[in-house]
Amino acid sequence: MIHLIGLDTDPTLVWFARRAVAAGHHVKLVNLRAVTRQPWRVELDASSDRALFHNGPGRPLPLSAQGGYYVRLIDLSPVLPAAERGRWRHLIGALAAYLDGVRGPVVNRPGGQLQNGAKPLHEWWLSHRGLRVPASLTSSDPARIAGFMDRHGPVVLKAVCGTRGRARLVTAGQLAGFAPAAGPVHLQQWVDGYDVRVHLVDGEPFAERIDTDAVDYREPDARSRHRPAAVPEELRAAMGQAAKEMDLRFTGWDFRVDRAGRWWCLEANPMPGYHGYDRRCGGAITRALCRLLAPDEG
Amino acid sequence: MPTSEIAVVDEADDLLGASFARWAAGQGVPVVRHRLAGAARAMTVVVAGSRVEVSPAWSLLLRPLRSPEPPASPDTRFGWSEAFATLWAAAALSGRPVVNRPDAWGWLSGLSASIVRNQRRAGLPVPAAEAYWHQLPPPGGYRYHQDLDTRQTAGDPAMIRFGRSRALPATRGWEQVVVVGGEGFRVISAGAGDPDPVPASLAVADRLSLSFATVSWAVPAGPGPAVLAQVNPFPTLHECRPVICQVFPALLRRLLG
Repeated sequence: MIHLIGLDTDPTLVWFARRAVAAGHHVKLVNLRAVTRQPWRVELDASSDRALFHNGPGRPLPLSAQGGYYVRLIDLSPVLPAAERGRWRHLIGALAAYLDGVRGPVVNRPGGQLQNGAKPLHEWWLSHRGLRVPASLTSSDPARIAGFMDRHGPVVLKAVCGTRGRARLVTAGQLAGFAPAAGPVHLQQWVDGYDVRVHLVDGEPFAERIDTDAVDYREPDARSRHRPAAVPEELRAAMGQAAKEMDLRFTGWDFRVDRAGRWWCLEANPMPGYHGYDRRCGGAITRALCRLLAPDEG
Repeated sequence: MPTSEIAVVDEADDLLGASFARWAAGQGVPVVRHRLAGAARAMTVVVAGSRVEVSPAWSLLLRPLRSPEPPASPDTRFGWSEAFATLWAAAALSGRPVVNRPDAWGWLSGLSASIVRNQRRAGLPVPAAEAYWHQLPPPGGYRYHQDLDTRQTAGDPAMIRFGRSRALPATRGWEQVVVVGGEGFRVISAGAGDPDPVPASLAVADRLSLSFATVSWAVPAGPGPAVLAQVNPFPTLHECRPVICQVFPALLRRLLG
């Protein structure tokens, strides 16, 4: 049995559910949009935890602390009116506590490392695990920003916190009038080359090379060519060890490969929206996730 | 120590942050209070390979920070998240003392909202179950109910919309200890002759990676040891007031490194 927890409007969750069901897996969906409007209870104790949800009036949905969980917890409370906020905040809090104690595999456990949400920390942490990471500066100081750009030339501007994830290339001229009140900004050394996205499922890599005319190939108007790629074994081992240390069974890694063939790690995403990549590789990522989450269902 | 090397990052209405800064100034040690945005804009983090540089070299006392709530605009919320991420990274990577330092796992990552999870993480037995619920209070045996919206406790869950309940045995009192690093200060005592809760409180804070916290224990009416009831990583001035003369010097010692 695979338990799915998330939103029925989340395309990644819907993709996973359809592929898993089509492959013959038993799937139980906890649709947070429905559950927030129904009674629920989560009990935590010394021996075994229990969770009782309802997907609708009179439709109880007991969960087991055994079995696998594919989880995409999205807390909508920051964007909801006050009356609605508590529904999400308290449910997400209770689910996070429950999932922390589930004995079976969880993709991904809410207690896993969250450092991707603080980019300078994330980049430093990855560097310490043997990955080659481009230099970065996080600052509101115009002089420091100018100095960084003098050293590195055009640099990539991206969010510090990981949301609004589209990156763009900026020149010194574009940041010449930078005012500290607009900061802090996160600038990263630009690596000329091509992109590689690697999805890592419990150490098993699924890699795709992306050649694009855009700085960020995810831009809607980017013209990109995707093709399968091989990951160097030493790099795969480093990624696997880092993912294990982060307690994340499923990660989405972004690399740039420079003209000399060196792989530069940009980030490891703890909740990858992987469905587009999976479509191109014939569902191989979902199959690997299902093997991890329901090994007995073959 | 040069001036302004100790910074409190807090909200304007944080009584403990304000009181600590005033007290430290009276001791001749300037402490500057910053709101999140100001602190983040003052900070620079450089990462080059495994080398990191964080400036300014502040010692940090981190206090609870409120994220913007609707009707705040998406840009306001994004700006807050950018500042929070910068502070998180700077505090985690700084070589200076940081009270309740965040790390790669998150902000206060050692602490769960669930007391049962905290008991397990602290290596304590779990003698009393805990339930979170919405319109579905737990069956009999659960004695203490907390309204998750107001944080008020009640004996009857009937009026609670979102609740947290615990199956604690009947208590005859509570113990509370303020922990600062390796020092613990007993605030409330259930009664004469009870075992000293300070060593256990220090151990809990250490296992949860907290250098400043109030640790509360429920003392059962019958036999049996005290049960961990709550861990607050942001002690309030009200909680600390009975032992403030010990807490502030301990905090200052810690921040001075």
